[in-house]
Amino acid sequence: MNTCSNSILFVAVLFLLPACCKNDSTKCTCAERVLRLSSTTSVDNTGLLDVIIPPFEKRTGIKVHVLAVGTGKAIKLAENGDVDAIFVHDRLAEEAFVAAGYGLHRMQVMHNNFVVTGPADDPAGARGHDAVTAFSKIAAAKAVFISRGDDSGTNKAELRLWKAAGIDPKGDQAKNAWYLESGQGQRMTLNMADEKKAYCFLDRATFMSAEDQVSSKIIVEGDKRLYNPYSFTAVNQAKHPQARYLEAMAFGAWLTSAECQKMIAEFKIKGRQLFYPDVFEKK
Amino acid sequence: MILEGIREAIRLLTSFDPEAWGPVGVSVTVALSSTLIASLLALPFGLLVGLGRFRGKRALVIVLNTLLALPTVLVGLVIYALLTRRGPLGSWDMLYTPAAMVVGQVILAFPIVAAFCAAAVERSDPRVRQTVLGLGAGRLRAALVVAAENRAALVAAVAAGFGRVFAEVGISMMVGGNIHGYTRNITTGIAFETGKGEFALGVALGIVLLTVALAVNLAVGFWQSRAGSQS
Amino acid sequence: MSGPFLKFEDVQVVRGGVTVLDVAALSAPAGELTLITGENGAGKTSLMLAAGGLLDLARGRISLFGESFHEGRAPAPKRLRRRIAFVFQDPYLFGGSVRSNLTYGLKIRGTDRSTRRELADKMLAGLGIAELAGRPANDLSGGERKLVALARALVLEPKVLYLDELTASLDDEARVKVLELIGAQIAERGTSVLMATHLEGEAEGLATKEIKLRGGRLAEG
Repeated sequence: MNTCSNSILFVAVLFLLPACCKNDSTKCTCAERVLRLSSTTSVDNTGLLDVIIPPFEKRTGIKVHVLAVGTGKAIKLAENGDVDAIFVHDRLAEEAFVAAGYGLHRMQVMHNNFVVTGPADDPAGARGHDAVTAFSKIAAAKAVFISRGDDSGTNKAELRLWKAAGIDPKGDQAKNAWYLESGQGQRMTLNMADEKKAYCFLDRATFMSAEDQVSSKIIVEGDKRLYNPYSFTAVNQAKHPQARYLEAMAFGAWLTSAECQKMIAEFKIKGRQLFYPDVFEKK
Repeated sequence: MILEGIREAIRLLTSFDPEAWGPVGVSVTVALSSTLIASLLALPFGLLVGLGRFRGKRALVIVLNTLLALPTVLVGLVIYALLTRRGPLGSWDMLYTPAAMVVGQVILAFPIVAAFCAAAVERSDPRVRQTVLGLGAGRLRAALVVAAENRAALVAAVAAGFGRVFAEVGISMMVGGNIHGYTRNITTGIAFETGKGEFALGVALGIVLLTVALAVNLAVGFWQSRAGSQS
Repeated sequence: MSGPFLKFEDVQVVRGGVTVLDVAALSAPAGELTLITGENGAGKTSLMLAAGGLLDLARGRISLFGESFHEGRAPAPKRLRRRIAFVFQDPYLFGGSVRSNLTYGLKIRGTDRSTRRELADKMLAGLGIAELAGRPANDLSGGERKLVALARALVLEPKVLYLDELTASLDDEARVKVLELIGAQIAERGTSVLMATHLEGEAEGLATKEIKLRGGRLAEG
């Protein structure tokens, strides 16, 4: 019993030690430097970060801790000073973030596109139209539509389209019983939409990775308004002096470097490219 | 899908894939640490409550039993509020580390271990304490003898605490952050992988969780029957 | 005739809202055997527990050898309690061997290992149960358990001995032996003994005083 509890204590101390180690970037005495990045679930789920982060870690010795939480929360964490940088896809929110003094050096890194998906037989007749018209048709037909409803970048983009169509799907629950909110990530929401033979709004990358497991099809794509840019912003030390600004800017430099941009362009799932780099355009 | 998941699970586990075993390591280390710390605090506390006679004892027992139902997300939320930069303990820089997970899990496990311990002691033979006191022991020694004579029940209390923290996800997610290779454990891993549609890995992790829980309970049961046959 | 070793002044014990003991005055002479008699439930055990400093006193004061011993919350201080040894009704024995039961009390008093064993074995021999030394304590018959519990108390060489229903459930041979041993303790070591029993005519030759209890109070006559 004694040796058992001793070894547990040893393991516990060993484990807790590095975690409690202070990570002040200006006078670090610990084994590793850390960068805390909040990002979106949609990027994290594709696995892109697992490809572009390790070369950075190897080159600089800075360990990147990614908190994949959804754009709204990602930005909130940065405002609270709990992370050092954000990598999200909600341009309006990012600009407000910078304007309020929380962020510095916003840089657009890459983009992809959203699509509207739905049942193959397209009961609302939305196919072939632009995004806003498609949404109007869906609302008019009261066809079931499942939204993420979680304040994520994807969700906000979707809501902007409803607004452009002059529709408020969240107001007046009784009238809009066809509009459902899952409160979940893209994949789960797509699965739900598939089960219910409903329409859905998500980014092409996620749909492509799920394509052969669902019966939904792409109904609308290619509209300019479906453009989905991802940008990196560092947290401003003026607001949060302990923010690891140097590490953040190093990562930002990496993201916008030719090498990383090439890796982004070459990142494929099932032979299809998911993201398009924006600093060095590859045609 | 479950079958395919099980097949994939066996493959991931036997090939020592770090995607599967990394989170297992985090779960085990964090849960063991929290259970150890919580027990060191909760067992003496439970003994005190179980053996003591003081005003407010009944109220304290009711509070302890109520805390058994603490939702993990609530604990996670409170710890987050304390550890966030803007919070009172922000300068500790503990958020999104395994240490923060341990803190939350200690809070979760404490009432379980304490309540079970107090109940076991209260249920136990009062003659033990009486006998030991009657032989001239002090109160502290008498409490320790009661604990030793009831060690099977106390071990069960600790095992219950472990089971609860090992399987929780609310705290791990909120204050651990599910950071790949750092704070991602079995439960946040399951949530994450299933959210991505990677059911096989989710199932794999679930199998490991159940296997560890089973192993712990088997070990406890085995030890209890051995200890039981001696006294 | 020496003075009293035990004195109760205005003592009241309440358990679970019920007054189980209410004794205005009581004393027991030192170096002698005092019987506490009464039916089951009369308060004999409560009296002994209180006299041992193991029950909260709702009121009153208990003195031991003229010194203030117990007032209010139990347990009374360890230093004072160590002069007393208990043998309870249906005694609880620790899980190890018979010998380890005996050495426990000596161990907590700081006696060294070899001396402990020696004293324990000697005491068991004195009671005629030397062969039980290595046996698991909880493997014994009811009578044997009582003897072990008595040995466990006596090996501490207490100044005061409290015996609760000691001779009940003992066969005649054991009863005689036990009473002999207690008589010897009193004669040779001047031990003060309180013995609670519901049996009529128990320890008649040995006892010099009888305290009768009924309903938690001293009974007249």
